[in-house]
Amino acid sequence: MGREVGPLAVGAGVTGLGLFFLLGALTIPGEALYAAVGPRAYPTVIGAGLIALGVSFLIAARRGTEFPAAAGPAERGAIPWILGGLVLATALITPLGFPVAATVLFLFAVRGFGSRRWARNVLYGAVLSLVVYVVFARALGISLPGGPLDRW
Amino acid sequence: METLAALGQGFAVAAQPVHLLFAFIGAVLGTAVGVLPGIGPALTVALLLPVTYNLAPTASFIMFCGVYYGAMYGGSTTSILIKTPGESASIITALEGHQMARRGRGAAALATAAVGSFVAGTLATVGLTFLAPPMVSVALAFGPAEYFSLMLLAFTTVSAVLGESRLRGAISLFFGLGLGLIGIDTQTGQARFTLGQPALLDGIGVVLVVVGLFAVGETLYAASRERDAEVTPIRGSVWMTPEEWRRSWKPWLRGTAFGFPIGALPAGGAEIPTFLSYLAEKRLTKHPEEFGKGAIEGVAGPEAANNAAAAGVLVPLLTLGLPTSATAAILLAAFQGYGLQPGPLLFEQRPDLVWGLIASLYIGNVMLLILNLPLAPLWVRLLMIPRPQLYGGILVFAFLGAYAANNSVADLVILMVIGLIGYVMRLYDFPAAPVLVGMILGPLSEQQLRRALAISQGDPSVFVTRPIAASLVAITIAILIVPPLLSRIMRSPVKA
Repeated sequence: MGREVGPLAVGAGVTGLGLFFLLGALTIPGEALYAAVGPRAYPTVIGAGLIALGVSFLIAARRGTEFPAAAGPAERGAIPWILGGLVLATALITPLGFPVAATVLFLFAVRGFGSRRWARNVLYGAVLSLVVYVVFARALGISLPGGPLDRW
Repeated sequence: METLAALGQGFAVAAQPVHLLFAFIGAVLGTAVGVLPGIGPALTVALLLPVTYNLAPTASFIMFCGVYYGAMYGGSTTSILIKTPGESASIITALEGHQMARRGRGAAALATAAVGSFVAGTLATVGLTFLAPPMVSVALAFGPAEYFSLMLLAFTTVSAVLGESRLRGAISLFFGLGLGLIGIDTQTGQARFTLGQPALLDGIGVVLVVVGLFAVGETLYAASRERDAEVTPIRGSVWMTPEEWRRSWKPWLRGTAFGFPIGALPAGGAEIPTFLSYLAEKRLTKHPEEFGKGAIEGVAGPEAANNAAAAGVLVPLLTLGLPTSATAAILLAAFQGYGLQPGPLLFEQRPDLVWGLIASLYIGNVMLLILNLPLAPLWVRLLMIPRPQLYGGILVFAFLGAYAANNSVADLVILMVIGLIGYVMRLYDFPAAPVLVGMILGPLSEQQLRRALAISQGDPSVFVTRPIAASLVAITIAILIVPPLLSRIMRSPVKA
């Protein structure tokens, strides 16, 4: 996101979210029972509020009065690695269990921060995930899928 | 006297060996996680929630309070040594404390922060002990109209007063209110904004939002913007000199005097008292030349204010069920997870829990002082974890916390979405606390509004004819319109 486009996109996003709530409110069935506050009242007010705020933000962004520039240069490569790690881990947790998914997540996250020592990071990630799994699933009794470990 | 008896009962609960153990574990975990850079008290509490899933409520809340106070202690270590405050209330500590560390007085800065936190935390807990019962009697007189007006006030203060931009605060608040809409409407049973997903019928969990905004959002931000941070090593005497003691004790007390009352207001927040305390110390000091270069008063005062406010925030949370900070919002969610609703009734129905919790705050503070002074070098070593591995670990815990609540893959998808939003919010400096307060108080306020109007048979004048409700509404309106009016009247010729 460039410095110019970013805030405008944020304002547009807020306005869009407002439209989502306002239009969504129309499709909610049900009438007000006692008073004026049925299931649609809050969504309508919140949707309208978000639209008004989003438009104000757009105006402020165009004038350049509202947003501070984020500090430091951006590392563009970082975000896809971390998001990719989260997506993979989410996909893997059911078939392969928490320890494997968390190891993959760790591996992608450290790569996102620029660490390329794969072998060492696999070791760190695996040890961390296993310890977390043993402490939470076995010692504290939290239900976590163990994947291959479920057999023990 | 009645209060003392209740507190005595509380100590009887808190002093049970099992509960002492949980308070200790909470304090250790809270400090250890709170020390990690980028992790503030709110995220610490959220990440440690899974630890308590299988505990009884009393044990679990005693542990939480240890975590909460521990995270406050740990956060000051981080601010002083690497200048990455985990939350906005530590920013001031970071300013002077980090300068002290660079001048070789890091150990003294840590000590004044720890002792100041202890003094302020203990005094503020005394305040909580004696303020809670009268607040409960006031709260018993509150009807739905009063609660609704109070929530309006909380919405306004958390978004319009605390941040630097009212517009961005309001956007955060409304975003939170919107998140709170998702799920089944409690009164009519209608599903709202669930996009046809059964996973959304129960609404989005507060923990998920906290972990998404603070852990995932912060990790994305750190990865893209600030990969490296320098740890300032501790040098010099590990203890304060008599001179430093002399310069610290008054700021501790003054900081407490700012922190507790402001934190205890239903408007709440810890940022304002830390800032006020810093300004006060700067004016009162005999060493004005040191300010900005590492003045010990500038650490002692704000750090005390911060901790006193943290205890103050528990007053509206416990007596009214009103969260006024991000951390309080999670604590409220934790209460709700046990089917408990903080408020006057909780004091009547579960005095063992409420007073046990308050008593454990005293005990926790002593434990934290003992843990923090001698063990500071140990905590500092946690700061030496390289950033990639540190954030990798944070993500693993975030992933665990998001998944363990419901064992739901859908929650992990929501985590990613909220995380991306958190990244954008961090990038453009949107405050996070209004999101949480909005999402947790939104549905509650809707419920109270409906009750109020049901009782008045649809007549909205209840909000202006009942004296308490009317004053709360008047204050809310004043907060909304007075500052812009003032700035219009006193508009300076030079626009900042």
